[in-house]
Amino acid sequence: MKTIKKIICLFIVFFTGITISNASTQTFDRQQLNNYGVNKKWNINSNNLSNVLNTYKVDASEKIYDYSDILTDEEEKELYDKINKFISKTNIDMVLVSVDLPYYSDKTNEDFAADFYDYNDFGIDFKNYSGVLLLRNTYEKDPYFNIYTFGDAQLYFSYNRLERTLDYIYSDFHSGYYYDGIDTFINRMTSYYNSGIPNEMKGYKVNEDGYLYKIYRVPFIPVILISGIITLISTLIMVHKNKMVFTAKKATEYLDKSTINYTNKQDNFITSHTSSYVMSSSSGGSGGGSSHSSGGSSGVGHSSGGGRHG
Amino acid sequence: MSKREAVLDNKCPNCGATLAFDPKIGKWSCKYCDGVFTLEELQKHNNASSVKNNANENKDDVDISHVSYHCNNCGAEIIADEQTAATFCVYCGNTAILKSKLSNKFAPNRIIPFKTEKKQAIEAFKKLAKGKPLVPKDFVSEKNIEKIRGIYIPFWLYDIKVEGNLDCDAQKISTWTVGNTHYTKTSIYKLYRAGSMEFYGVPVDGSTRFANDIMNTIEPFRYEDLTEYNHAYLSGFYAEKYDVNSDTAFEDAKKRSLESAKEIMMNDSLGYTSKVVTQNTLSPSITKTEYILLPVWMVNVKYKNEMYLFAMNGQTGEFVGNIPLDKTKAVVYGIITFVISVLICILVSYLIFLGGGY
Repeated sequence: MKTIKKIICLFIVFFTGITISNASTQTFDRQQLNNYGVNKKWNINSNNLSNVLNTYKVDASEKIYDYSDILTDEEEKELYDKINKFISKTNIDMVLVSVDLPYYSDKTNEDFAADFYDYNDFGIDFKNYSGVLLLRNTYEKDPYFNIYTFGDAQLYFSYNRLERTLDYIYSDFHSGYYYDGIDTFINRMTSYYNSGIPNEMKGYKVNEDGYLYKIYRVPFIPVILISGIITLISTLIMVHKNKMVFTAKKATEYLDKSTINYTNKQDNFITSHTSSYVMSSSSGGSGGGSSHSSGGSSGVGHSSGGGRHG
Repeated sequence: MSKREAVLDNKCPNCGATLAFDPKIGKWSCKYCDGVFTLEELQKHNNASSVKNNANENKDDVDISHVSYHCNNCGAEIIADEQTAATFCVYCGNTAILKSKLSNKFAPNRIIPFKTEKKQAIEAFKKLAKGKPLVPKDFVSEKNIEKIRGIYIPFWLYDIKVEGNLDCDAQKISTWTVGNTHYTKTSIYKLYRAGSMEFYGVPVDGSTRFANDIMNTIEPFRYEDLTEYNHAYLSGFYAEKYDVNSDTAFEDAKKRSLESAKEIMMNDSLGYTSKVVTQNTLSPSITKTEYILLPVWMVNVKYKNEMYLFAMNGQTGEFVGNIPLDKTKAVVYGIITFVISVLICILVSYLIFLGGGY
């Protein structure tokens, strides 16, 4: 049995070696001795070991991993310069991956992207492992692309911003103008970074494990408003206590109730009408913002856009 | 030339000293010889209580505007303005009951004698700050009381029958939901009411010198203590005669009884969402008018050069009056309330945040 497994493993390694050697990207072996090539603090155990082993080990400084050969060497060089400019300006890592990966659900793409990012040395200075990864899956049956964010990049590139970016680059990607699409992507990311963390993400922070969490912020306007009303009412009650003198408007206390005598007392029903309306079942357009991180096999959080097929 | 009119005083049958009505025991007591007298005992002697002095002489239209009064004790002129009906001689302190202002058309039908004493009014004033956070700290001090007088105030009492129709347009609105359809049913009704009701003893202050609102606020008086009028009850107190005649005073009682009658008739059927009066023919008629004197302690307070008026119901002890505001306290309490509210609101919002909402 063991020998069969070894043969299969060797076959996989050999086969992937051939595939990869066609691309311009260098890959390395993962071995137990060097913590399977994972430099980050992630705990490698029996649950995620196969994920680690199935993830290409690459040189994180290359930034562009074009397994599907969608860019020419020249384009790669230009984009590489632009990416480095983005990184040095923002301190957020940027990774481009093209791969031909068969899949049944979008989750497969997401898992691939998260593992690729997590099990290589991406993330600048490892603080929050902040970075953004653009994945192009050129799988012939259903081409797919999406943007994944890690660490503090989740704050800058909110779901809504990622969705807008995906819309911007859709036509270029769909038509195969990858250089233009990726160029637009880098420009969008740069300008989003320049405009700062969007309001929708201002109530969030990223914890040590890369998950978004909500931070408590004092809702000043409601607090001031409610306190103001309470103060006004209590002051009015106190002021009112000092005013004791009132003009009498009624004489009810002098009424002898036994003398109330009706000679006519009728409640006549005249007409009635019923109106109705159908309440709309949707509770208004929801923004669709997913302000929570998903967990990768490493146990670390990341966020993503909605993804596009095409 | 002014005409001299009789002044009554009330002397102790034993020693001849001034005899005052004692609200505590409801009798007349002499401070000098400790004699205590009931009305029957007093009436055996010739003083303010006597049958002769209380008899109505049926002299119509006595012109009392040019009348002078002289103290029975020392002969000095009694200083009294037109409304004053009972006072004291400023020279000797003797009781001075100005008979002509309490006779004929000014003769009261009945009186509620004082049941409370001066010191009770002072105590009530001193307790005024209780439960009222914005009373200036040194306001309720006895030393601020400038003047405190027990006064019999003239009141008109009306028995009123209100009769007529009251018609309303009324609506009942009910709402319910089936599935995601919301229904609103509006039912329209016409309400017809015709009938009558009677009010007994609606009081109206008959003196312009006392503000109606403060007199309204010390209501109600318990009429079971109303007793036949006798001048002797006034000894030891001030008294006023009316200067608002019955017809004028009735306007106030009319308004109040009509408002009450309308409210009673409108509210006798429940369950309507709204009612609009379409016809109101309710009208009051007087079934009985009485002129009475009611006991009131008037307390004049001077605080920081401003005058404040308080009144205590001389029968029930109800003490009323508007108290000045301590603005500094108001600001301080306002700030404290605001700060506490802010802290509580923040705590609540934080708890909601922890609970996962918000």
